[in-house]
Amino acid sequence: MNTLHYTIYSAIGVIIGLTLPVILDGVERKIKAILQSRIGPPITQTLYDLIKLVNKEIKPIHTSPFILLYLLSFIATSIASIYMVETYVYTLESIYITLGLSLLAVSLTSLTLTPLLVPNPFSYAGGMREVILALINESAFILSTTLYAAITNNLAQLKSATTPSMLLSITTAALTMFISGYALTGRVPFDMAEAEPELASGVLVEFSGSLLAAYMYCNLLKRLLVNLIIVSVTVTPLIGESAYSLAAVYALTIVLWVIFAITAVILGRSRIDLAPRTLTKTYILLLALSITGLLVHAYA
Amino acid sequence: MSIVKKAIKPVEVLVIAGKTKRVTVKYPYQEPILSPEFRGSIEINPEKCIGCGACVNACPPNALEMIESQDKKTLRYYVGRCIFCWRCIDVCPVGAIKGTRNFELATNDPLDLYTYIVHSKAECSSCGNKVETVKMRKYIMQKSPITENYVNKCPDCRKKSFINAISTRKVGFHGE
Amino acid sequence: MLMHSDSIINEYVSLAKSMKGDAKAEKDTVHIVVPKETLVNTASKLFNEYNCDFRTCVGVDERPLNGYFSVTYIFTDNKNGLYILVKTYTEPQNPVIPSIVKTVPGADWCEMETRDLLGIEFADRDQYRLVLPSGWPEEIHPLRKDIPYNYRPPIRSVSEKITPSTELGVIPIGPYHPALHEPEYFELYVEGERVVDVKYRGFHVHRGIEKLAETRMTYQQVNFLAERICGICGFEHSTCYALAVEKAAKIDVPERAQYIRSIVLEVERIHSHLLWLGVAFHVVGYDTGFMHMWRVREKIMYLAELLTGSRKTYGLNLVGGVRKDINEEKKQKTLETLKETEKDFKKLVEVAISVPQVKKRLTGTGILPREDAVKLSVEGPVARASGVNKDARRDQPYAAYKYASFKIPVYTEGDNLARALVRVDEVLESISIIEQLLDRIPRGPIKLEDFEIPEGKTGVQVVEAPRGGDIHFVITGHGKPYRWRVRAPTYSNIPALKIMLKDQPLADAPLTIASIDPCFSCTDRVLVVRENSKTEWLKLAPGVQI
Ligand code: SF4
Ligand code: SF4
Repeated sequence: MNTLHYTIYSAIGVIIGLTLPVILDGVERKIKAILQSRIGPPITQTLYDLIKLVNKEIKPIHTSPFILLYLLSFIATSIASIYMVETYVYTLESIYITLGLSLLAVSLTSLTLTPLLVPNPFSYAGGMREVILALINESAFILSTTLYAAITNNLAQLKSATTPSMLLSITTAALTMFISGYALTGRVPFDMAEAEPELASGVLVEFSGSLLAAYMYCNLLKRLLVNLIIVSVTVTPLIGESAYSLAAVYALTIVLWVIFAITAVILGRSRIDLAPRTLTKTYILLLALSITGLLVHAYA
Repeated sequence: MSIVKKAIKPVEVLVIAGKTKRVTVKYPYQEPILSPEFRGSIEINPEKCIGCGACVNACPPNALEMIESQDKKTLRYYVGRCIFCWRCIDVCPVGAIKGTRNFELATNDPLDLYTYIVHSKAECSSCGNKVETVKMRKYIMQKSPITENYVNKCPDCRKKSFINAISTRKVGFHGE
Repeated sequence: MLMHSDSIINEYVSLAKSMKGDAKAEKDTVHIVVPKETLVNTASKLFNEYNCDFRTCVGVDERPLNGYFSVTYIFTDNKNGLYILVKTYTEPQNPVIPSIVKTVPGADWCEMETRDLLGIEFADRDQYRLVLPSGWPEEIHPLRKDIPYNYRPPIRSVSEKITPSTELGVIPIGPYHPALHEPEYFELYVEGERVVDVKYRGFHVHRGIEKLAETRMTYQQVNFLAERICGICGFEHSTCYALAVEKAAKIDVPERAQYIRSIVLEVERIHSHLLWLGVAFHVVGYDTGFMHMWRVREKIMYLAELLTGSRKTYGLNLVGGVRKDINEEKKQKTLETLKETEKDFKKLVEVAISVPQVKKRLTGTGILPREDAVKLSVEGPVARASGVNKDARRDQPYAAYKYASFKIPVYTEGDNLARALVRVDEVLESISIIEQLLDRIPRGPIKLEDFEIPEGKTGVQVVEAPRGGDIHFVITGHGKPYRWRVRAPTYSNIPALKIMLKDQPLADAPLTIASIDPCFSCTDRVLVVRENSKTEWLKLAPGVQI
């Protein structure tokens, strides 16, 4: 394949990536409903919701005009990040995944900071909770992803991939990636910023109309982006270079979304003072194991 | 082993979900789930109702009211206040009220929530006042034919003439 | 009824005598009348030495009868199944009686309510307005007999609006708060994420039903009003009212009616506890547990409709009996439903409690120690989770409970998990009670047709509602109650929240508040004030007392 092909495929991929979250959220709600013995809304419900919100008036809030800018910057960086990840899928050059991850970091920052711009105590408290969680999860996610990509990409050089220490290193890195990725998507038990009842929907409280729609859409897009990164990093080294790898990655992203959705159904919500502590402990332990494994493998 | 079992216990909720059928229905496109005993709003049969007012006295929230005017008596049922207790059905002497299974009462016109049953009042043969309804009078006549003498009178005059009659009978030739 | 041994009753009579008063026993109720001067002493003796349980107090305007105001303190002797009513009179010109709050802290609210509604002053205690809104004129006391029920005083409304502050640190929660589906107003003072103090303000929508029943309704109509006191456990209230009137009038209700009452009461307990468990799961974010719990509950709701004609507000009770019989077909259906429910419920609870977040957030949070539970006379599962072994179904058996055998779950931990487990166990016990009663239900009529209700008689009844003991106090009148006083269990349980919430994480507050299964009926307002170590960020407009 030549570069032109890559570009066309990737462009199509970006467009799919931008629309997919809306549908997948509908699927998630349906899955939830089925597991709760309900009929639930149709799969297109999230789309309807967003369309309806866009058509409603915005209740003016006293905030800086930057708020929309933050959301736009989130979408722009997300697109760039998706594009980078797709390029990584085709080229398997770790520079692209690194780029994708740094773009992710930038985009997540703008999304996390948005509620802090709103001068409302709920929003502020919710935003602060989000920041605390994001700090822990983002760093763990980026670290573990890089680690995982680095190890798997260099499998060829590292040759004897089957040593126990190597396996340990890979699995712990993968585990960290999945857990922190899941936590980043803001599902139960980590949806404390907006779902804890005493905060009255915290971060969402002042948003209305198309602004709320944009914020919600951004959150969905975030989920897709995280899923996409996890899948690309895990499976591309296995598939190798192929014309269909992008399609495979997207298919598996959907599967991962479904798995995450089912996980969320099973769990309850954690508490803001418990979650960061537990997560930090888990991440440190897992990452330490992973790095130790790698070192043992390299020097033994 | 038991630790693992404990840890994966929450997953069993999926088993529960798998075993239970879907429990919600596509209301209003599907029938709502009602038991055979369900009490809904009431229907008053204007043919049967005699305007006695027993239901009005029994109704706890005043959903039934009797509106009096010069020569009409109007029983008004306001379903917006009705608590579907069916006490009125219990007390109606002629069985004029029927319970329905209807609870879908939303309407665009609030006037739809009212039902009126208009009764004309009968005139008292001695004082000319109008107190009870024509149908009520008929009902009394059917139930106790003895009162035939007084039935055309209003309750007050009836009482008076009744007491008169008794006192005449007891005291005998009082005037002489 | 239990056999009330004469020696115990004599003890109470001689206590009354030693307090310069008099006493008279009627069935399970000991009526004690003492002069004002010895009231506090009597109450303290009953509470501390006789270990009586304080329930509530009632003020009555008896001026049309005998020219005095009276206040009756209701105690129960749970060991012997006795109601002890301590009554004292006060002259109408300047009605003052000594307060018993210092010895019996649980009397705090009912005294202030009496002060608001009847204008009887209580000496030696702090005074505040509890029930009436802030703009209500001082000299109007709505429960006095000379105030018509539809009287509207000129109210100078005082704004209670909280000025929303843009400064960081203040978190106002409310007026409509999604965590608590019912109305109340808490101020939680927080340091970081930790609650350091709690203030409560309620009674925003006091509905004045007592006045309504005393003026506008008939004996039979009040049943339907009583049922609407609570949207979840209404039947307990209507049963309690009917039993109180029947006790006052000495009416013997057919056995079959009493069985049906007990059966439906237990059906209501089951659905109420299932509802609560669902809400608790929802509050801790375990929505799947919530949905499935309510799915199980739905079968019970259908059962309630089948047995009574309505999912809620059954409209089943009348003074003198019930309105709907249980036939063979309904009996079979009931047994079938209960069997299914039991299986579903057990499985579901087992799974739900194993969810790590649920377990973690219930265990060790919102602790109410036993001493406080006793001191504040808390009720129901809240009391039983803190090691207080009381349940009116066993202690003051009413309806048909003496014909069933059942366990009363008691836990000593006093945390949210204990309160949850008490309810879980009670659901299973209730299922067994219904099965036993259905098995033993006698034939016969379900209501008395003809009876008289004499005037001026007093009846008190406790009914163990899902949330704790309901108290109804009735003085009979002409065609309607002369005085009707209702006390729902949450009335006793709210003051305990202060202890449960203190020093707990803010995120647990909704769960803990929900854990008493509160039943308020007014607007829901919570205010969280974040304390920046020294500065108190509290922004309230004038009119709000804190
Ligand atoms: S059903 Fe009850 S509330 Fe409705 S009209 Fe009849 S008595 Fe009144
Ligand atoms: S009780 Fe029956 S007959 Fe009498 S007014 Fe009511 S509906 Fe009519």
